[in-house]
Amino acid sequence: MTRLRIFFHRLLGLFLKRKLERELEEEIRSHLEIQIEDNLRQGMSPEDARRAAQIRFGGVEQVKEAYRDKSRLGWIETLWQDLRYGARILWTNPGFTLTAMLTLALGIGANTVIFSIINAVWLRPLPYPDPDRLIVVRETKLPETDDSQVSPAAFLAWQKQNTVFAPLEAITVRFFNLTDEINPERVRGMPSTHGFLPMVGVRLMIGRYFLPEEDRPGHNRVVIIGYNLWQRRFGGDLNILGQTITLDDQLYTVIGVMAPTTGLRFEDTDVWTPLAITAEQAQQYDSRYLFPCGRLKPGVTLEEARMEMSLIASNLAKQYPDSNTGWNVRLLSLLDYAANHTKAQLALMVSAVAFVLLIACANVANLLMARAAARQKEIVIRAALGAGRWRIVRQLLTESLLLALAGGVVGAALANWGVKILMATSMMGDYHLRVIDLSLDGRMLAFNLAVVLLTGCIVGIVPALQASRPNMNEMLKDAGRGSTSGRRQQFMRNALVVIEVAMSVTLLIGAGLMIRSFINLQQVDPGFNPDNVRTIAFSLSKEKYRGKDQQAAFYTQLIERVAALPGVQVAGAACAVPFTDGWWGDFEEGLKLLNQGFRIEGRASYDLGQEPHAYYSSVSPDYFKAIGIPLLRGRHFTARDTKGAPRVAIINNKMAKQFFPDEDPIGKRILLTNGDEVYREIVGVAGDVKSDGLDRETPAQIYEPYLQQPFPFMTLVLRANGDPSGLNEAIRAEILKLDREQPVVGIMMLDQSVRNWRSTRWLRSLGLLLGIFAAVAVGLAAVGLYGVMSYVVTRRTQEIGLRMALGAQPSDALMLIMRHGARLTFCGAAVGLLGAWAMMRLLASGLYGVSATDPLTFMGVSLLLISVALLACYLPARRATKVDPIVALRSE
Amino acid sequence: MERHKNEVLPGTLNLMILKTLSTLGPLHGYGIARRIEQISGDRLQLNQGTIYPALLSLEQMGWINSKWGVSENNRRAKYYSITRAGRKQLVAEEENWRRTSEIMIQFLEPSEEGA
Repeated sequence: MTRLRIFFHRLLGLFLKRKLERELEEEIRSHLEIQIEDNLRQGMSPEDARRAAQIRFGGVEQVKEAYRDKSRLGWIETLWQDLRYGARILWTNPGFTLTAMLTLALGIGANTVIFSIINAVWLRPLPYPDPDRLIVVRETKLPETDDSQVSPAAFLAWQKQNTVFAPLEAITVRFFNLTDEINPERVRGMPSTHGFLPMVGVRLMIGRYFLPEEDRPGHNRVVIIGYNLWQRRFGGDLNILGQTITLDDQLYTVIGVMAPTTGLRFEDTDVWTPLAITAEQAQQYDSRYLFPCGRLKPGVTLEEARMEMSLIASNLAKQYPDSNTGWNVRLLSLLDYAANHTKAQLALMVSAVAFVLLIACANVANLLMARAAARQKEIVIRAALGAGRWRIVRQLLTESLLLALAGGVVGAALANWGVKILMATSMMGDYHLRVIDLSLDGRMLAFNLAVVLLTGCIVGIVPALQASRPNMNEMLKDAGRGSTSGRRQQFMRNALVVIEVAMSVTLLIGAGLMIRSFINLQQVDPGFNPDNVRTIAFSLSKEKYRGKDQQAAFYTQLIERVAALPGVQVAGAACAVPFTDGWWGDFEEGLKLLNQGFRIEGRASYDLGQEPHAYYSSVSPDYFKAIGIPLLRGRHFTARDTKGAPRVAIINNKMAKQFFPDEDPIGKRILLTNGDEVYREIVGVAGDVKSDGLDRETPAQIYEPYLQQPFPFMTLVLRANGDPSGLNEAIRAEILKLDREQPVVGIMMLDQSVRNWRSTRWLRSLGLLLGIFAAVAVGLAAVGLYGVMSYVVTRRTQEIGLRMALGAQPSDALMLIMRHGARLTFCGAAVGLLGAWAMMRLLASGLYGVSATDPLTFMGVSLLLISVALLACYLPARRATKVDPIVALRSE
Repeated sequence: MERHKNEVLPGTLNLMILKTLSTLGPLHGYGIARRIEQISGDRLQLNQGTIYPALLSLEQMGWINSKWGVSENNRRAKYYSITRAGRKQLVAEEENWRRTSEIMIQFLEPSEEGA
């Protein structure tokens, strides 16, 4: 407390410097005068009185000095001095300052970009009350699934039995057709139990949350609409409450409008409806499609919640072994859940930018060392005048901190720009579930300041310690001869360049591996030909097309009409098309459909829940032609494979090989376990198709003719001749002609869908970012090498001159310098290769079709780097050949 | 007499200043210096100037205040007075000194057991 008080007094003293001194002087003067008067009164002569007073007082200057010491903060004054001096020095060397500052700005900027994204995705708390207490509950069944949705029956059991959450709620995802007389639209819905929104703390713009009785079947015809939908479709009408809207042909009363989202994006949900679990669904343990989320009770820890939930899960597994054996729970905070997918990617980015910053630091440290060498005279003089080593180090460190600070400011500006570009290219695309808020906050300021301070110290400390080494003898010797000076210094500088080169090699290899993976991925044959193929996904109103026949009839008609459009080669449809998100009504249906269990006639039957699964689709006869999947054996579906005809199926090559290794699958019969228990005869074998990412293994696949198994949601697949203009409008018109309440949303080009598929985009953005960082790193390393070699040439000018005077050729001089540069480069490359070899294993899981120690990448990168490095050496080396022996020798 | 002049022990000057101000009330620097010299019977070798840095640090600690005023012979001078915190500090330090000096005296006098 007293300390603080003194500090403030002294801080104040800094500003009142003049006043304090004046007052002290006046005080001393009056002191002396009173004393003199006293002395006079005692009878001394005026002369003696003055002298005696002065003696009694002691040295006036000492007193003033002691007073000053106490009245101010010495270190602040020194700092201020150092700052002014440092700024002046930097100002007078604009070339050096600019280079160093920009180099640091690149490094700091890159780190700021990545940090601001980490901050937005990971660190910023969600804008809900007590967001840490919000816990997502998932089901896991190791080793097959470590993260799954939850079955309604399990959710209800948890909700009833747990004592750790208050409350535990759930949501799911479902698409609706939102229709009115004018404008049919497909909207994303999020059915949620009544307590979900208030539990999370999602704010409403107007209206109310769901009531407890509204999430029961039959009472659930109310809806809260999203802010965007409200603006887009209802023009922000405040009278919307109480009106009805039509979702999948049911009337829903609007009871609220969501405020614009600032926390979770909730996948940009348009409508929120009550999640009404039917009595039938309440018995389902084996279809998992709910996302439960709960709020921990006060005082309950996540660990306690985990234990209790596990216990409930293991009881369920005992009670319902068919569906729940091996299933456990996984609890994680909502924030972790939201950031989950980004972790690996961001961790990689962090290491990449840390490398870039370190390289930048090495570069600037090298520059500073070169300059410290040039400033040796100044430093020797300061030391000779009595500056202690610490004082000189402090002065030099202040300079580097100033540089780092300037770099930090410019870096922050660069980062601001970089983040915008990054977000605009949607590189971070769908990896986050949050609304990304990049505005400046305390955490970012603190991070930036810390990076700046750290950078300033890293950059400055070695050169400062070296320059301040008060070995005058050596300095004088060096200064005089100037041949191969300051061995220790030269060693440090060489070491820094080696480290730079090594780090660039490692980074470059990382980028190289990513880019090669990406190229490999591009060359994977998806098993079909996506060029000039359009996909149009939509689903039919279940009210209007209640019967399967009606649904089939609609699609038959539609395919016929669309196929007749000019420019269309062939048209087909399927309920699940690869690389196209299906538009089935809700999550539950989708999951059941895509992954069908099957049994082969005449084979031993499997235990319940253990049968093999296949990727399923119900398709039109021309689907294979439209999308370009080859038929390997047997026949296509035809228009004769109708409801009444014998049931048939086509399987893919993978399934044929796996399940019919030694026999002809054609003519064999299979049964799908999720649906009508009828055997279908296999009539054909189609080519394998990648369905969920080019990097995934092709699963077994089963196709059925849609006339025998129609679905109300199909994706139209059209192969056109080239890209006829107006085709999209024509397609839309045909659909609206058939049903003017049918929303048509996205007409997608299949080749783009394949190119932009999640895993592909992930690799592409990562490869691109790493590539940019690696390019920066290589550039910096080249500049560093160039700088050091230029310095070497300058220092060895006399030696070269002497050699030339003794008959050496310019080419000998060139070789001399190049050898030096090459040594550094090869050392660096070797270290870098070793480092990469050790580190890239961590990357292995993100690579495709290339090993983490791919020799081609390693060699290619080394060659690239060595050529860049040798070029960086060549420029200064060429200067060495121009050395005029006479000038060089005379310069002594 | 000149031979026996003592150095001011570190830390004692502050105490002497506080004590002076507490007994005599507000006083200027010269007055404080004179008082200390008088009490010590001129046995203390005090450069009067050294009390100014001491006054400054006492003021920084909040134990004394200062105000410009006019001296008895009509000169502008800075008057120092003790604060409440200063009095508390004085009590504590007095106690402390008393104990220390007792210990020192006991230590230096030939003890009974030793003899």
